[in-house]
Amino acid sequence: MNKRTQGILRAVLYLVLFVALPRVVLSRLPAEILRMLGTGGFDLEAFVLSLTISGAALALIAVTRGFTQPRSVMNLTASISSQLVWFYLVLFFIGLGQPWSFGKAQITASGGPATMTVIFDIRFFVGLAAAILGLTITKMVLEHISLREQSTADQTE
Amino acid sequence: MASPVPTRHKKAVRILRFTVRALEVAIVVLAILGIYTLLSAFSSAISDGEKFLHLDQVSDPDSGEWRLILKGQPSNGGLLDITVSVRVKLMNIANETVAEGENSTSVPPSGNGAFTVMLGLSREEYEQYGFAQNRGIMELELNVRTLLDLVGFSIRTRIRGGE
Repeated sequence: MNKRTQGILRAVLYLVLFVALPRVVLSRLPAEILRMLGTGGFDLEAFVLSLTISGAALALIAVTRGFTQPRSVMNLTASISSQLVWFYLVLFFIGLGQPWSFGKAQITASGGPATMTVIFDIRFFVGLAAAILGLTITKMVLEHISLREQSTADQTE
Repeated sequence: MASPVPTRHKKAVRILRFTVRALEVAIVVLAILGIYTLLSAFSSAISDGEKFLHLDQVSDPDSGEWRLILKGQPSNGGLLDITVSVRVKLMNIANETVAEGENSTSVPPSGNGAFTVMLGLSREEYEQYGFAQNRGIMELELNVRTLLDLVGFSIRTRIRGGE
């Protein structure tokens, strides 16, 4: 399978997973669950919208990667962008829909005189994921530099 | 997908690739251990009920001092040590803290721990801050942490009296 077909197939997969599937699930959720999530302060529409934007971004990046040369700057930019979008998705899921909480998600529910707040603190894993992201991007840049050097050397010979 | 790396960065890329793989494995293993331990602690908290956290109030008939006693014997069914800490705060209706206390215990896997938090108010304070008329606020915070206290969850409950 060539790179272009791979890129298109990846894009379709991302669109199905992050754009179509969440909308199908949302349309089939019982009203009672939607009401429960709403009273818990969870904005399901915003959650699905974030997934849609991320999925569309990943699809666009996959197509860009498929249709550009591996040694081009555009290909490197697309690869780095893909890593950044995946990191955003990790933050998004770990933060229960609040990516900028950076792993410290909070759910508050109140009823009558009582208010209950549950806080999940998994910032350590976010730190590890950020380290992986940094190292992966460094690796990609080095691979890109090497490819360009090799390409220049091939042209000189 | 591994890209061909023919030049001077080959070694650096190989080291980076290995480090990334090692970190990915570490994150998966630590997440499984940590989340399993936290879920076990959470299910113990629910199934143990009164044993995990027991709240009592007593009034000294002689001095009139009012005491709030919180005792707990958390158990750990997980695979790593957990630290359970509890903080209790009593506030007046203006949201000012009038008494607070905290305690924590470390619980090894398959073991038990114990903690006690005691708050006391004199008869005058008890009446002055509106607790006699059930108008005060109590805030109870339970923290459970594991993986060298790096990950955890906390449950904060705030109960307002007189409503």
